[in-house]
Amino acid sequence: MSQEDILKKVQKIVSEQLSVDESEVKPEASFANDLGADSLDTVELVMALEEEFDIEIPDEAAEDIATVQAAVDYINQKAAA
Amino acid sequence: MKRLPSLQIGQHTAPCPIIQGGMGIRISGANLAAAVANAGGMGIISAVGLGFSSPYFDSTTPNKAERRNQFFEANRLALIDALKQARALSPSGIIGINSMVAARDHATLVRTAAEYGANLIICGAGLPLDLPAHTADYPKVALVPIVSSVRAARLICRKWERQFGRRPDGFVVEDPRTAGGHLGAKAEEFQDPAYNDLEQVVAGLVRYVQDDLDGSIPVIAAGGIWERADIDRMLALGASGVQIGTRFITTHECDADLRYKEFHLQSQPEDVVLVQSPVGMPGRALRNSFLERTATQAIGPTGGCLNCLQVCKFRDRQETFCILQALDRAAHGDIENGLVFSGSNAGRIRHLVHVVDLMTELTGAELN
Repeated sequence: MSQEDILKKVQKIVSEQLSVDESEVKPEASFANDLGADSLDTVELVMALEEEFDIEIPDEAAEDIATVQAAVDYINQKAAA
Repeated sequence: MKRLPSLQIGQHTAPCPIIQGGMGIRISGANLAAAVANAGGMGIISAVGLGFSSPYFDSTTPNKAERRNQFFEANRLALIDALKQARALSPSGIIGINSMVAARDHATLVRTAAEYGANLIICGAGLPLDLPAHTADYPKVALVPIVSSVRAARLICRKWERQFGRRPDGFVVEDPRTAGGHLGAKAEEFQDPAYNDLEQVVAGLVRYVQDDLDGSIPVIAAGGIWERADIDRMLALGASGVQIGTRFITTHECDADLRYKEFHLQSQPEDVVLVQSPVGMPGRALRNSFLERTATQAIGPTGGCLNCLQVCKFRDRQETFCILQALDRAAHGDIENGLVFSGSNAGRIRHLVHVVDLMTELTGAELN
């Protein structure tokens, strides 16, 4: 999957999970600061990403995934491994 | 008075649907938990920070790394002692532990409890998303997350089913507007009039369990439960039982120092205040000179930080206070320099009682 495809999928999931418009889900957007995610949202989001991309995101890694781009990078790197 | 139903959680059934809430540090220890278990309820030892005042820990150990290691090992050993002591006092009662997800040695304490015969493990102060991993070798141990919303319960179920192929054995629903100790929501959230009250969350969770989980998971209501009418109200909503903390503090069997109990007896409802805990959540406690001092200054540990929490505002930002030592001092009876957690009903009782009499009052029945 190309980086662009991953970004598109991530944007869709984030917009659904956080009930925000897809246009707001820019790569640099922070889940907590820009998109209004609370602590449960963040956990749900990580789980949705795990299910969509069929990967495991350990807690330590999840803590570092604060922005849309960080999620894309993490998934991209997992897919390449 | 109608006899209350029994409470089954996982493979364990108590004659009375009352869980005594875990209260740390050393407020609910082996003595209180065993007394509740013997009186027909489920007795819960608070597993947090037991090592600090135990013979296994020497706070003057000069090397920092060594001191920390010794502290965590002391926590484990002191928990084993407490479990053995409770089991000796109540050979057939239902004994569990409460472990804070926010504690650094949470996983170790949970594993230790399962290994040393705890019947159930109740976890709050964070989402216990990995709890089943710690007890995988002990399938009889019931796992009970504390939640403040249906959403959190749903999230835990989804994660546990996917990763561990199992569900929780029960849910404790705790109302942050009335519960004592650490609370599951920020003050600005639960002080909003639109915030769901305990009745709404209990009813919502019961509905979720019935609709999506075959009705197989008991829901336990907690926060502000004081007398029989409160229990009846919760059972009428579909709860299978209640968890009660504060009322058990003013019992002869409670493990805290007598001065701690007397401070509760002398308190008034207006003495119950919110406090910012270093774990990043609010807590509910009794006003005292310690809390007055923390309003204007941070109060750190003596003898060095033991790095006991995953997130600590004092350790990381020199804000708030060292909660380990504040709770430990309070349990020793140093009320003016300690943190005295309490639910919103403090001040409603004026004398100490025996656990068995309290249980009889709550259940309205002598246990045979």
